[in-house]
Amino acid sequence: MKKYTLYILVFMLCTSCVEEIDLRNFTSDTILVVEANLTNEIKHHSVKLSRTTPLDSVSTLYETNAIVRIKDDQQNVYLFTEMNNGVYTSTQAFKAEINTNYTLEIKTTDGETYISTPQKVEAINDIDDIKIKIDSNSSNQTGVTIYVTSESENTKANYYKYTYEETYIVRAPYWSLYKLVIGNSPRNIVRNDNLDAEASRTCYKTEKSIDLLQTETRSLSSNSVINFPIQFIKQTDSKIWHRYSIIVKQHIQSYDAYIYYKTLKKLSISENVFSQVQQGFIVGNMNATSNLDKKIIGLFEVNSVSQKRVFFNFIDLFPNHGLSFTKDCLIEAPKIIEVVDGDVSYPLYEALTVRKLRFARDNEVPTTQLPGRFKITKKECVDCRYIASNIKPNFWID
Amino acid sequence: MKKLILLLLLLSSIKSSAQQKNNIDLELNNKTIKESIQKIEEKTNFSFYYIAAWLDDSIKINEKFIDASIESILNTLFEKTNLNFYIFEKTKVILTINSTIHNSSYTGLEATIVEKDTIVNVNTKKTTKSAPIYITKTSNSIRGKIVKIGKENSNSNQKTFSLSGYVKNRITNEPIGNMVLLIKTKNIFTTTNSKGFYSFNIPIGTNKIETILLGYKKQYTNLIIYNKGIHNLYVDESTENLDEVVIEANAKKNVRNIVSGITQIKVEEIKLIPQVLGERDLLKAATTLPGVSTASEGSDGVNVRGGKTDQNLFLLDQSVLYNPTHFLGLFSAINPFTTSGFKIFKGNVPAEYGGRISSVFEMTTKNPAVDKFKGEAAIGPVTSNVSIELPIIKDKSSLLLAVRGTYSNWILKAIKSKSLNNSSASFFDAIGKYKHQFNENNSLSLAGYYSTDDYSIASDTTNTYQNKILSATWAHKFNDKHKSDLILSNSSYIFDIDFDGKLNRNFNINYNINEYNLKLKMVYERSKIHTFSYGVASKFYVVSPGKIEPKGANSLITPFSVQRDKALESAIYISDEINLNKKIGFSIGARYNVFSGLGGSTQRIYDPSRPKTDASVIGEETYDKFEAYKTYTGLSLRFSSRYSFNEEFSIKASLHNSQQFIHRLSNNTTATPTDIWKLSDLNIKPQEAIQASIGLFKNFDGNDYEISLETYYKKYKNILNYKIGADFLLNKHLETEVLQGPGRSYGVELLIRKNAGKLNGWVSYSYSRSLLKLDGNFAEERINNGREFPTNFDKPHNLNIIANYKLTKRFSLSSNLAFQSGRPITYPIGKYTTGGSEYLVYSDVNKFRIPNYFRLDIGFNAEGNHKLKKIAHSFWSFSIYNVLGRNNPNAIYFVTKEGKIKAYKSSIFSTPIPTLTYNFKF
Repeated sequence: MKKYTLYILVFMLCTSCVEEIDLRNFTSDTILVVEANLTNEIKHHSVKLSRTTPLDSVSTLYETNAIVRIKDDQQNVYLFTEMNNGVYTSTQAFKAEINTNYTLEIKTTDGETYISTPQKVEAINDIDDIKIKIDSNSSNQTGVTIYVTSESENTKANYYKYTYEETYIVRAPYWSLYKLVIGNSPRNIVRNDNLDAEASRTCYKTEKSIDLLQTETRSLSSNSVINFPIQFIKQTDSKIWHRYSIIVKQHIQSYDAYIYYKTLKKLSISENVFSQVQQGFIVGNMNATSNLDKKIIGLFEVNSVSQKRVFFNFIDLFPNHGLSFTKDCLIEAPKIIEVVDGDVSYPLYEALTVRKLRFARDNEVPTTQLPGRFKITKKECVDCRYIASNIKPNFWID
Repeated sequence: MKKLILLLLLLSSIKSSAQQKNNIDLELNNKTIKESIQKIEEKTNFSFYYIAAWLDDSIKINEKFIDASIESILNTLFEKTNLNFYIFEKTKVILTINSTIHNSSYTGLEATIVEKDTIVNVNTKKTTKSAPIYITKTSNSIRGKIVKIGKENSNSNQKTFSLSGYVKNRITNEPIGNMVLLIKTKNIFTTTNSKGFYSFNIPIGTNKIETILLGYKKQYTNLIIYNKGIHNLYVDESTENLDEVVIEANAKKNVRNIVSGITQIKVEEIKLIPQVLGERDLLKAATTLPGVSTASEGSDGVNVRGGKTDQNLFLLDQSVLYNPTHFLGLFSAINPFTTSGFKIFKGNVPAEYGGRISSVFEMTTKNPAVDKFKGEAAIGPVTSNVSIELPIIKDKSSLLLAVRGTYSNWILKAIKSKSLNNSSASFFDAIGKYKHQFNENNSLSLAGYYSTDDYSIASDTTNTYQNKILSATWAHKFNDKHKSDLILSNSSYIFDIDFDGKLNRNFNINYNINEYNLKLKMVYERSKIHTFSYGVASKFYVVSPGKIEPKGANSLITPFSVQRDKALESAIYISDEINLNKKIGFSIGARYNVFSGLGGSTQRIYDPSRPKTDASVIGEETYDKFEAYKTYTGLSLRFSSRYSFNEEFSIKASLHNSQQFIHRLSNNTTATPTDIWKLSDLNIKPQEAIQASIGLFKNFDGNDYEISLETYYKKYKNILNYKIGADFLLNKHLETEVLQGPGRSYGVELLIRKNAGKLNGWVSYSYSRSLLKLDGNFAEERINNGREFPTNFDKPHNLNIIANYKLTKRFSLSSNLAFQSGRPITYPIGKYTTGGSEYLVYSDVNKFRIPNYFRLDIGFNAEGNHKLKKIAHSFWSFSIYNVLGRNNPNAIYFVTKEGKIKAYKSSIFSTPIPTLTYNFKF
């Protein structure tokens, strides 16, 4: 017997299989969060204390009035005093010595005491080189990749964490010392001849890294980090348009700290429909002494730090870039008064008051697109102090 | 039944006997009955009413009739058949099978149709003829299919006739000796001899034969005896083990032999369960029964009685099938066309099987037909399926070949999800079986199976996975009591991850597990009381966890490979089925397992006073090729018993323990094809389980209703769980990522089935828990501070209702309702900021649950009309999967995006999915 089955028709109407849902909130005890990193740099080290907040909360809950101290196995005690916003700073400058164990102790105002397991600096290894390379990313966009290289014979330097701080020049392309002043009516707007001497053309902006950057050399044949990519900056990103500087900090971590941060990162990256990583509470190296069920988040990390700074100019990397640095600064020249169907409006007045635009240039030849007398633009295109500082940092080399 | 009703209707409309006097001249040369009838119709004005299938084309007629009456012609024609005829309205001839339509006799007989007993009291009329046998629609004693024996002879006075035949095992086709055949109401019985043959005299009329033998399902056959005759019975094994579920796939055997009241799901019934995308699926059907469930829609594998997915032994013709599903668990990898048997042992596993601690899924490929060529095909929106059975030497050897393929990519394209838009998925499987019967005592089977899946979920990663099985089985019979099977097989499972992004990090990962298996299985039926099974089995494993290879010249990936694992797992077993008497039966068994990890291998030694991490390694030991570096042994005992209160009510209890030396590790909460299998070694211990269960089984109304209630308690040791954020893929030292701890599961299972009638189907409900405890000596080895917590697949309530309702002969409705408690989930309970980024803080592991799962599917089947001469027999089937369009989440997860926390729920089928199917047979 032969049998033929013929499916004639099927409709598939499966719509979105992944959808965003509202976060559910749980009323549970807040948990103490510790952020403490003791390094081999001589300085006033700090410890940050905060509390977990509900998922939909927008504020940060700082832990205040706690007693914080670090002890070493040489009977030294370093006291920390509260500065502000849950930041506690050591009263004396000190550094983590190699082969010395340190413990962090915290006593909170609710009477709970937390103590870390002893931690020490695993190894010291310096950054050898930071390279800047013209590259392209996965979407085939041109840009710059910053690589770090650190060669070592030290067999204990296996786990690396990187942080960085980037500082770059911000320029106001329509820098002007003039301002428009509004007189006694919206129609009465004139250029003020008293110069705004403070307005800056060149400023410096500093940003800290947010991403967790880690690598390890244990699985490699040689104990060296070679050309580890720190970050990729697109050519169209204005932060590299003039002069750019980055200081890369290399921390040699313990295995436990490496795993802690690696797990933390793994639990926060995106997932797809068919795979999820097992979520859970990550246990750090701190414990409550009285109540073992009391949780504490975070790690007391003791590690070595080495750092290196590099500078580069955009024009040196991309001499024929063809980019317009004014593309983010749209020029307008609104009319002082406009009447449409009997309604009177004051476009220039609104641009200055509501949208806070600033004078850029005089409009010598008005056109239909630019009918007004004054060319105006975003305030940061005229004075860079709106988005950066005009004070040159000490380390800056022109 | 319909024919009988028709007859009754006819009876009431026939007015009188009318003999046709016009005699005919007719010459028949090597004509079939059908051709002869057609000739009569041509030459005369007689018209015939009959069902073509009744006419046996093998009978050839060579006769010359001159001036013969129609009666004499027809008597000659039907001489060798069991057809009778009746002529009415002068020119109309009705053919009937078995029964004669009585013309005048009923005028003298009370026209009442016998209600209580179907045996007609012959004394009501003084006649030399035996009374006609009437069967009424309302008769209580007849249910289900009725087998008719012999041709009714109106002129006979005989009151008993001999019935003989063979009783055979439905699956193996082997004769069954010592089977008792009983007609309870008349206290008549007989037993079969060692060849399975029986013969006894039974009274004319309806008789209900019951088959009784420990180890076999009780089966009822309704017979109407018209004359002496032969009837072969096919019965199903029940085994004394608790909780066996038999799903019989091949229901194409003569339906007359199948009597209601067997614990089976036949493919014909599976067809009635509304399915997604119209694909028949044995594994999916199994999950509608209590104790078998899946973690979620779209997850690989099944959980049996609170066990992990790796604790089920899937055997395809005695060889391990590592991944029994296609397309991320949406379809099963088992071809329903070629499967003849599908059994699940979820309680006591026969001693013959070992190596997995939760269950055994025993799938048997049907033996190809040796007499004639057969074929079957299906063309669907997602899959196509072709199978052929090809005799090579008639009655000796034959070949079965089946292939299935898919073109499902368009479904993924249709899914409006960014992550799935660039996705693709397809699968293919093929099965082949060659069987050669050398003589009565020796046969050889060669079988091969291959399946491959290809999918790409994130657009730049392509995953493929493959199952391969090759096996040879030599079955030998020493004598009627002593039989053996020698099986040599190889199974392998491969997956491959190919990452082809635009960054210079392209790579290819290849994982491969390969096992070589040799097994000698002996069965010795010593006496009526004892049946022994014994044997030895040995397995050699080679696991290549894989290597990562850079792809393309620009890839910065450094090549890397993880060492191979090799091991030998051997076992010796014996079991005895003891049938003390009709009421009490036992099965006892023992299996001794020896597992040795073999070199060449390098194994780490960890400081026992510290958690197993890369930092606590105190040494490494290197072992030579085939040097046994670690041996685990285990004695697994099996005991089960049954006490029958009566024929329809019994209590069963069992206790057994087992060991497992292979572990499946998953990066995800639910199983996926890229889960890796890891053998026990120096640092990973075997998992163990012990299970006790007890159950009550009751049948009602001649097995039309079945009720079973079972409860079980299981304890586990060394169940593998992962540390938070563990990564198993290409991990050289998996022991640093996993934790082993004790667990337990328990539950109650209820199954109510109705096997016959307009409304049939089943209700299955289970309450079950599955718990784990990880309380190591170190903080990172403790989960939930060492307290017991539910597993990812702990779903206490599980309800399935499958119902079919026959509206008319042609139309039927079917529905499937599934309800499950939500799966446990670890939920974020707060957030915090550190290092400038916001992170989530999670609750205790599996503290919360995702919403309950609820789904309703409906189906409507319409058979084509029953015109006799229609070429093709057709039927339409329309089904809607998830008719309520409920968005049942299979996962809820949280992502930190641009410093903000977002929650997502994902589901596989969130809207109703209608499928229209047209089937036709010819």
